[in-house]
Amino acid sequence: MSPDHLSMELLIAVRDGDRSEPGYAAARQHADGCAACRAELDRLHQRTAQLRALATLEPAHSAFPAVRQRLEADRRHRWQRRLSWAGLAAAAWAILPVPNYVHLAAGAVALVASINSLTGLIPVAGYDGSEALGEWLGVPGLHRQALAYGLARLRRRPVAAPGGHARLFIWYSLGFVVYNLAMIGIVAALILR
Amino acid sequence: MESGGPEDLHLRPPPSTLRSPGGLRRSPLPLHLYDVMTRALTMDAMSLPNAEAVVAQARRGDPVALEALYRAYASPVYNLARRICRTTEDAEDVLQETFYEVCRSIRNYRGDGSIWGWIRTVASSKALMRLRRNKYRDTELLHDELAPARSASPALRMDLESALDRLSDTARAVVWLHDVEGYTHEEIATQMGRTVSFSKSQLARAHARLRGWLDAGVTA
Repeated sequence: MSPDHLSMELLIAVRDGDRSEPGYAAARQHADGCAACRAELDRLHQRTAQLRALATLEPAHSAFPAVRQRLEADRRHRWQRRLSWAGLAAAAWAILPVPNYVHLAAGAVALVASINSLTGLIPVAGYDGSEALGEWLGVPGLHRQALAYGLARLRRRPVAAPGGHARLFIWYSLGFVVYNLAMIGIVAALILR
Repeated sequence: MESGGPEDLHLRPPPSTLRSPGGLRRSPLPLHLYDVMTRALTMDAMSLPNAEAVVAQARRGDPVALEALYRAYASPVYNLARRICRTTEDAEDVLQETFYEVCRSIRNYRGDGSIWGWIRTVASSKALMRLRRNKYRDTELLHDELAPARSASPALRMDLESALDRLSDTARAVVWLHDVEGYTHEEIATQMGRTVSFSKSQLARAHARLRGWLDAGVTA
């Protein structure tokens, strides 16, 4: 553009109201009085409007199945990692010729990791096992939905079970309560022994 | 009437009606941002009428809610990715990467902005990352000298799609993010790891090229 007219930088600054651009005020004043720059500014507006009006491009196929697969793989890997640590700790405990306290520490790690892994797989514990059960039964979010329904029934609130799974939700809630009571009982027995 | 902000959005007439006697548009907001912001505010409502409830469920890991988010926003995410990336394969990868990240990180979404705004930020970040990874050789330069190899009929006047495609990856990304998606130069500079003046100069050079190609009747 000629030196007598606004550069593209200044035209864009005027379009955007970008007062941080050096020379913005003078550029605005110039554009008010210059027919050529006003026309250029209008072209800029039109081009921007045309850009926004371009057709929306659609994906050829859904990417969600691939996303779901990756999320499931992540979950499996998480459990595999925990089990690996448990296995390593147990192996160290078994074979290393080391003092007793190292055996004790390795054993504790193995025990905690194994319990952690195994309890997560219990269908009423609210972790991977619950998700797997929910997927198997075709009830996503089984843990959350079942406990919400169970709690509502306990409080004698009128509530409809989503998907007509009232019986499943009640059994799941009961299982959840029994599981937690059993865990509390085991821990209490270990402490009091 | 040079001041104004988002809070004025509902109090002022549309920018198309705002013209001074001399003909120069005088908008309280940067003109291109006016529509963009209005669209962003209504995007959630249009794509996902019960967005708040769906997001709450998605944050608890409900796969049905996560899929609902995907269905609502896959199209705009893909469009953004396809406009920034050069190939459909790259755009599809960005689409998948974006929703993988959204599903993994939805618990971190605090709900202080629109869900579309958050997803769009993830998408643009993934698309720019894809551009960097591909390391196209013409990142800094407008590569109009390379474009004739892809051109069709010499008699065909270039349309906006072709002209946009002819810009360098960086310039195209800046034009799209700023003029269409409504990102500020500061936001673009942050996402690209460059300066504000880099973003501004890319935008100006890109528009100068587009004007030359489109308005002067340059053939493709």
